[in-house]
Amino acid sequence: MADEQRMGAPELATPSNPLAAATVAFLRERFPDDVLDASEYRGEMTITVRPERIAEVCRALRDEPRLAYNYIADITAVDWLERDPRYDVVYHLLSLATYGVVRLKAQVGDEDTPDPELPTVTTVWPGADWFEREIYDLFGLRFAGHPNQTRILMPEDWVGHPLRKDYPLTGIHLPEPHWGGQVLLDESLPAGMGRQTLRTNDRTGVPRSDNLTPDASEDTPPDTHANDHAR
Amino acid sequence: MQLEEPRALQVDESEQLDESTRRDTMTINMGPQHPSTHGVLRLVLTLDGETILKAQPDIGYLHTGIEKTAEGKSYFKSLVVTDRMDYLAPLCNNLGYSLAVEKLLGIDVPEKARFARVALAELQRIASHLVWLGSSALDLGAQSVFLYCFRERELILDIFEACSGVRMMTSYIMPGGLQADLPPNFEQLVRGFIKIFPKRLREYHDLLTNNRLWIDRTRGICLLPAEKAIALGCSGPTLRGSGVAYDVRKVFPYSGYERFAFDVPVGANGDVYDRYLVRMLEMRESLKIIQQAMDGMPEGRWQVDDPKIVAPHKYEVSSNMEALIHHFKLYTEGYRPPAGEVYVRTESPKGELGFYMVSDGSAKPYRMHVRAPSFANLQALPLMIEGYLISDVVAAIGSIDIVLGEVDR
Repeated sequence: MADEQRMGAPELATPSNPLAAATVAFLRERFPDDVLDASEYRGEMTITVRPERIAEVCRALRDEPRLAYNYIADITAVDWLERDPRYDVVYHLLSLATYGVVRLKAQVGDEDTPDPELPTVTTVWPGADWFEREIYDLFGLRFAGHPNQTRILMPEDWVGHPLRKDYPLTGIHLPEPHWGGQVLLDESLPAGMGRQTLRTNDRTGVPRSDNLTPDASEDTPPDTHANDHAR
Repeated sequence: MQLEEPRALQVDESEQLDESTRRDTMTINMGPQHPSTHGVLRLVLTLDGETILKAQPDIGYLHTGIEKTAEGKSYFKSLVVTDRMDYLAPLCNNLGYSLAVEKLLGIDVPEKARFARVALAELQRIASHLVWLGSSALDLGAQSVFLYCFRERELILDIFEACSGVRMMTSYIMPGGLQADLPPNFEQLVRGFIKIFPKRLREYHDLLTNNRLWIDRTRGICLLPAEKAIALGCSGPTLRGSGVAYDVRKVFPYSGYERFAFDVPVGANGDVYDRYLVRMLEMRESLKIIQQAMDGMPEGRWQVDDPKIVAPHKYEVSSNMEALIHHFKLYTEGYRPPAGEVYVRTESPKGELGFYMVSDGSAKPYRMHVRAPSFANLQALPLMIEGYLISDVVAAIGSIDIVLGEVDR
């Protein structure tokens, strides 16, 4: 019910926050075709823009002297599994000059693009770096032009993106790891998740990205107890 | 016999390093088990001698999937998970989470709960700063400070224990107010702390603030210019040490902070010493706030009077049918905030702690995202330490006061 009201109000009559209203007016004038929606809920303004234009919109908001959104408070994403487009990428902007706040949203992803991509905003605020890496890590969304698009929280050889709604909440049940050897799992994982490498005895310290599809010789873990019987 | 003319000793040229060898760099791991990294932070440092050319923080060792966990639990069950993020300031996490859920629900808590929350959050800030002060001084070789800081922290933990029965992971602040009424001896304990603490604060200043060794290790070290701090999304004392007076309590007051008189200490140089002083002065301001909260603490309820959000009293449950139903409904199902999304920012001891909550109208949050202040502050570490020595890294990590439980979540 409340959700319907929010969705159905593209033109807002009286936003309670004057700076947010000024932001909406500015964006509507500057990017008339790219602002898809503006709505307010509990006093917080949310502006939905076209994902491919998000970097330009952010740059304009930062550089406009009346608004000066010079601080990126947070970037995150929400997975609406059933919806098309599937993901919301949510930007919380703050101005340390005017103390204005606004939430920007870009909606990406559909059936044809399971791993969607949108422009990075690290060029606007360098602090967006780790937030975008976190989204890449946990949601699998990619950011074009990001200086270091790698996993940040999960191990580098992790398969899947845990905060997606189709990733099981309880995690993936894995059999007891074989200490000292490589454990490859390809049966216990849900379809589409690929293989999971648990532990390796590879001591070089460099995580290998190619061990997700190993050759057959590595499939059998080394029998570390083989010599015990001989003795 | 004629002595030979003495001549200066010389190393043969073939034994000297040529220029190319001298420019060689070395890459070392600092952490994840290094004691000064305050948890499990791994820094990959590229060194030229002892000078740091490049630093890459590697995080995630403490990732516990708190955001994912919250998606599978009802709103008040997720509360206890928030304690475990910034485990040095659990009550501040509780407060941020509770405010976000209350905003989703569209409810407001009674006056007494607001005052108690402010008093507790500021006590927690002092406790967190005391751990920071003790451990960062310990890292730089001042061992006795650590013992004194933990002595005072005990007093604060005793207050939390009197309130909730637990010393650290209290979950005492909850959506809808407090878990229980303040204990009868709360005022006495807090007033006792207010009386003791200013003298102890002077002791810390005496130990460090004008200490030549401390100044040599911290002043002019690991600079963070204001514009860089803003661009990198730093917040809290890390940002204020660089001269930016952004304090959420002043700019976006919550829980009634607008009614309290306090100052926001701001540094000038953005070095380790300024960040140190900002936190030291913040403890004094927190004490002022606690004093005012205790003076203005009203009588009355400590929770909202709504059995659909807070559980009825045990006595009611055993004597009143309706209370029993509410109790049962609340603990099996929980409450259902209307669909919507909120972002609530609070000032935790580390900086801006933001909770982004999305509700789809069900009894579990559709999405809970935590904007962890340590996560954003840690991004500034490479900038701070590049060009300085390894021993300064220890000072820099101490000065941004990270908690890895919050960074990795």
